Amino acid sequence: MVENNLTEATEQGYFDNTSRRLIDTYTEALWSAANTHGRSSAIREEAEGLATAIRSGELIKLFFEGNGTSRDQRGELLKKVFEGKVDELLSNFVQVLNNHDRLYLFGDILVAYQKFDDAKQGRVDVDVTSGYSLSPEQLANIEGVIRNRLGKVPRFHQKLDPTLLGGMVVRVGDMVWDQSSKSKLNRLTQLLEEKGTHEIQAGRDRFRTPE
Amino acid sequence: MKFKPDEIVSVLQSEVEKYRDRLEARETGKVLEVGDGIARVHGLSNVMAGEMVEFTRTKVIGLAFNLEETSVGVIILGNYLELTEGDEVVATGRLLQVPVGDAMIGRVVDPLGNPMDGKGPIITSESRFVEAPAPGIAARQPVEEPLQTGIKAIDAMIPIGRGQRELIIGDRKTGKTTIAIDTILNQKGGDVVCVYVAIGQKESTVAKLIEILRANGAMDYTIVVIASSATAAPLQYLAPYAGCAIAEGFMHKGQHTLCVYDDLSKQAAAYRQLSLLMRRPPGREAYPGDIFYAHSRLLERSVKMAERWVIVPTGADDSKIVDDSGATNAAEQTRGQGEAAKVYVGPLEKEHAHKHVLPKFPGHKLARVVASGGSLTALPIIETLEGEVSAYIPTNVISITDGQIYLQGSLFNAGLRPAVDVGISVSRVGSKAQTGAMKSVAGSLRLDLAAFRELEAFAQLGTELDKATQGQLDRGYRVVEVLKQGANVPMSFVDQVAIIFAATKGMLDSVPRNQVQAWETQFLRYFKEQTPEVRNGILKEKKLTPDLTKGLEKAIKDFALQFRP
Repeated sequence: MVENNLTEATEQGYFDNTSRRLIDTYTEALWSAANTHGRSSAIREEAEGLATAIRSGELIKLFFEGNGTSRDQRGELLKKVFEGKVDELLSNFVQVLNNHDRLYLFGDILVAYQKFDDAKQGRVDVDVTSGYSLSPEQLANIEGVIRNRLGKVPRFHQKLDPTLLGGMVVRVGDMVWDQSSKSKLNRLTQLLEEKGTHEIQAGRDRFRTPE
Repeated sequence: MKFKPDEIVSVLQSEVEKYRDRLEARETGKVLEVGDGIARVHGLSNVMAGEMVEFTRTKVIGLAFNLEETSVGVIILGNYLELTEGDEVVATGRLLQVPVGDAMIGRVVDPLGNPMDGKGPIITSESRFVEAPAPGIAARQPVEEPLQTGIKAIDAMIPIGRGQRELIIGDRKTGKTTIAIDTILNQKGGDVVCVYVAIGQKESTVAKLIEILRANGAMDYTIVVIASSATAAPLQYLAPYAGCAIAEGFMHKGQHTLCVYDDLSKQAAAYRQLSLLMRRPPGREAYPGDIFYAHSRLLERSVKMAERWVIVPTGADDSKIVDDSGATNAAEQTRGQGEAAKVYVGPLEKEHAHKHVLPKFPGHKLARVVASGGSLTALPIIETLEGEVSAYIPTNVISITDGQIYLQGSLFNAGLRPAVDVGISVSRVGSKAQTGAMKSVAGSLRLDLAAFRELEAFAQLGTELDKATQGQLDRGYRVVEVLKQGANVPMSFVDQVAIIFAATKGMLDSVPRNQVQAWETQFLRYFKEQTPEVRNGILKEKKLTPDLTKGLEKAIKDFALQFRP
């Protein structure tokens, strides 16, 4: 999930400061409106689906990002596509974006909205990579730890990586907790290499005659 | 050489047994884009400015340089060509350090302290931060002790003190590096540890320099830090700070050090490249706004540390004196149990202790705390274009340093080497950093030379000159001749004093101009072999007493009879 967000964000210039400020402002506005009507979670689900759809189709992407059609034409088209099919708020929001010529930010806003909603609801994406698939009890255990430590509700994304041998790697945002056998062995190797070099050098120094 | 495999195995075995596992928590980010020695990283939200980061896949080290709202600009200290978008970056929580200590002496290293000379790993447990704040004023004392360069023109007219920052500035191929290298060579047998930092130079040039240092036995007390022009800009930018940190390691142990930065113009260019790539706003000549600070914070680290003195029993071992060895307390009485020792800081307090306190303690002496009184002398080098000293970087560094040695291409081509332009070269520490003997013979040398230059220009008009003026001119020609000196032949201060004495006192007037150099060579041999009592006397006294002056005069006169051109 995190990775997908990142690719999306890079593609659309999330790291361009001007766009980012616009994205943040529109996202907050959409979320506040949704929250006032108690529909923030419902819109989040729709946003997730829409974001995937926009990412998957070149043609849809082109429609949102290109400027081949006029504002009115696009407005009509958006009405046909969205009205009655998605939440009314979201449908209105698309029209607002169109009127302000900011439709090209729509994909980014959808992604940002999910993050924003998660942060407000105290949810957090957690990547769990392990050498074997985890049982529901184990996951519940991890959930308990994360709730205790971060005070947030984790949403798990599981990955299998047999090269870890045992243990698991848990990632929350930037922080990574690594308890895999692979990294333990790596650390031990490094430690022994350093120790070994030091011993050999010390041995060499012992035999060296002062010049 | 024999290794005992069992011993090594047993050490490793105990390591394995003692190995305690702990949960590894790390802060990570991902590479967004990479190129030209820099990377932009998403994540690492708690990274500090200047913190080391590691690219986990290739184990390359980077430095957090720019902290932005959504990303971190990292300068890559190593091979950046193998990095790719999406690579994981881990914050290490540490600042950049270099190894320091005696194990570094005689080694050639890169700016991260990795050996480049193929002589195996450098095993030392000490290290220092590459970026460190300069010592404050309380820790310093005035620069007064001379650092002999072994070059007549400089030691006589532009003396350099220990802890001073003297800029060497000039066009390409005017002998800037030669002056720095000669100064290093002249420290042979002395107490100065030298660090030569080569920034953005051709590796062939550096190899040649190292060869000169080796051939003259200078690598026994020298460390070379290399960031050649093939190295990425981040390392070229860091090299002088690393060299400075290595020298500081010795300085804080009470040793004297000399650090040559060759040259800071190239470092400035490397820093400009980094800053532009990081999109920092360009200023004059496209250098970033903090280019002045980049140089001033480096050169501020050159310092003469204050000497700390304590009163100890006469029999105490001088090599083991620490602050706590003192026998007196704050009230300058015998120190009781639980009281802190009185430490006399700097020359004034030392004098006070010597005059007023020491007499109250018979059987005691004043001793210097071993780790105090070290110094770091800096010789930054700046290359100018077409003699243009009013360009941005030269004016900056001129204003930071305590004087400059200005080298002229025209003098160099006229055969006047070292091509020091005496008129505009200065040392702001002045004659304080000169031995008494040199002060007495070279006191008026600068003014005399300036007067000679004026006369010389006048004489070129072809006017007939009166006898006195002609005499002054002849004297001037001989002084100029005496100040010439070959590359890599530094001269001890006694020999310099004798030669300059002869020239300024008019004792060379009878020697034809083109034979002055031959006279010098022969006289120095005579001086050393036939009149060792005078030579050793000056060496010991460091000043010209009336007796020594007479002895020197006699030696020169006696030699005149046996001079064979």
